[in-house]
Amino acid sequence: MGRVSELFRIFRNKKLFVLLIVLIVFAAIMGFSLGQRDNLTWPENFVGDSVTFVQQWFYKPAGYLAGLFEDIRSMRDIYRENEELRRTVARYARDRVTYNRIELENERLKEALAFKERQKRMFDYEYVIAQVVAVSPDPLNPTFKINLGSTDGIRPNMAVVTTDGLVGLVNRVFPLYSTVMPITQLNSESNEMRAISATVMEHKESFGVIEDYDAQQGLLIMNRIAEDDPLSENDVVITSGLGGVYPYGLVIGTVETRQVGDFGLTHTAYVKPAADFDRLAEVFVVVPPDLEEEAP
Amino acid sequence: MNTRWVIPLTALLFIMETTVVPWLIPEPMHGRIAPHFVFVAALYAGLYAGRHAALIIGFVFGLLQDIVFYGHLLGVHTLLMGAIAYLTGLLLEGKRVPMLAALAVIGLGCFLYDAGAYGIYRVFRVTHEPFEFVLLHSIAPSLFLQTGFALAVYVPARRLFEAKAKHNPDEEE
Repeated sequence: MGRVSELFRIFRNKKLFVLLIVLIVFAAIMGFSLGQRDNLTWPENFVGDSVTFVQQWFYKPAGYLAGLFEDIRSMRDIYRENEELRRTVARYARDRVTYNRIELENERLKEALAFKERQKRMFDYEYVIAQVVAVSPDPLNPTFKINLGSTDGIRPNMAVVTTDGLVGLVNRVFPLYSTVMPITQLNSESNEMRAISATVMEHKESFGVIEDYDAQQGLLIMNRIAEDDPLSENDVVITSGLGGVYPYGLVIGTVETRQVGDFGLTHTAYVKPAADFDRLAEVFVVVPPDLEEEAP
Repeated sequence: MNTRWVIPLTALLFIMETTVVPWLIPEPMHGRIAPHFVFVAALYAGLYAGRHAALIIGFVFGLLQDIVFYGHLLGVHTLLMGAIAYLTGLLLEGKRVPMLAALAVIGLGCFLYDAGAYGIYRVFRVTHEPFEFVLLHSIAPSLFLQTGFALAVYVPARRLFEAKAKHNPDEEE
């Protein structure tokens, strides 16, 4: 009888032992997988790509169906939208003339100043269209997958935009697909996503760093704005390109409020994101020119 | 119905919850309601099929979700889905669990799952929202969706998983 109870105790301890080992292994895996990884291992690549290959057959048709119902419901808004679009087109035609003139002049000035070829091409971003093929069901890890991968020249940390503005960063790159982390996951406590150095369209000398997202208000937090900075409410915030991660000139959002920051030395602005993070169907990956040359 | 059906159906559920279901969630609840249908299936496996089946389903599909949507870190869903489904099986396997009790267990399991995921992300400093906010913002509304789904599939799920456990002594119903 004593032997049986002893055996039982060993068995119990073994279970505890296994539990402990499992916990340690998982803690190690989580810690290891946390930071930036340029290359994933082949099991990850295989599983990720083959599952997403199946997912892509479902996401888009579902989107079309949902969009159909939405269209019927929003029929009334279309007239108003059409009116607005016409006005925008008129403005575009006017701006186009100015743009052509300025571009020509810019070219001439670059020639005159003997810009090197590399410098000239510095802002020639390529916008590569990508379809969203699946959305993560975890609200604290709200990644979505796009159908471009490392074989298409996509690298981690490339900016992802919609027609409205900046959506996120390419996070993990599989051979055929990649995951995108929305900018709502910006977090000053972790160094996983780099902060965005930003400026505003109205005042070129403005500068601030967007490094946090307030989920409770749905606003991005722009810190380290100098006290005498001309930034004010309703200004359009764009990337400044100074951090080296995000290219220059991507629209982020509009300034909601501006107030004195935590330490009283700098100001903090709350920025309403321009892009819609839900129900994405098509996004653009911004490929910087020099990165593209590296890819074969 | 047996093992042959469980894996393909759960896989289909996984595909659906990541592609079609997000389109069905109404606009204001986006980013708040998150479907965990595969996890509900794993809990049903724990309730009516056995702890090992639950562990395998939870582990495999948790791993799948972790890798496919690899964002912050790997292993959160693998660990939580596997562990909670196994625990359910360990405590309630072979017992006759009526419908309301099963729904209560699934609700509790989903709460533990979401709270556990929040805890892990918090420890690794991936999120810094206070727990009360996350609880009201996403965990509570998701709980309703999960319980509703569990109620909707109760009969087919029980039939599917109970048929699998042939060695179950109390199968004379």
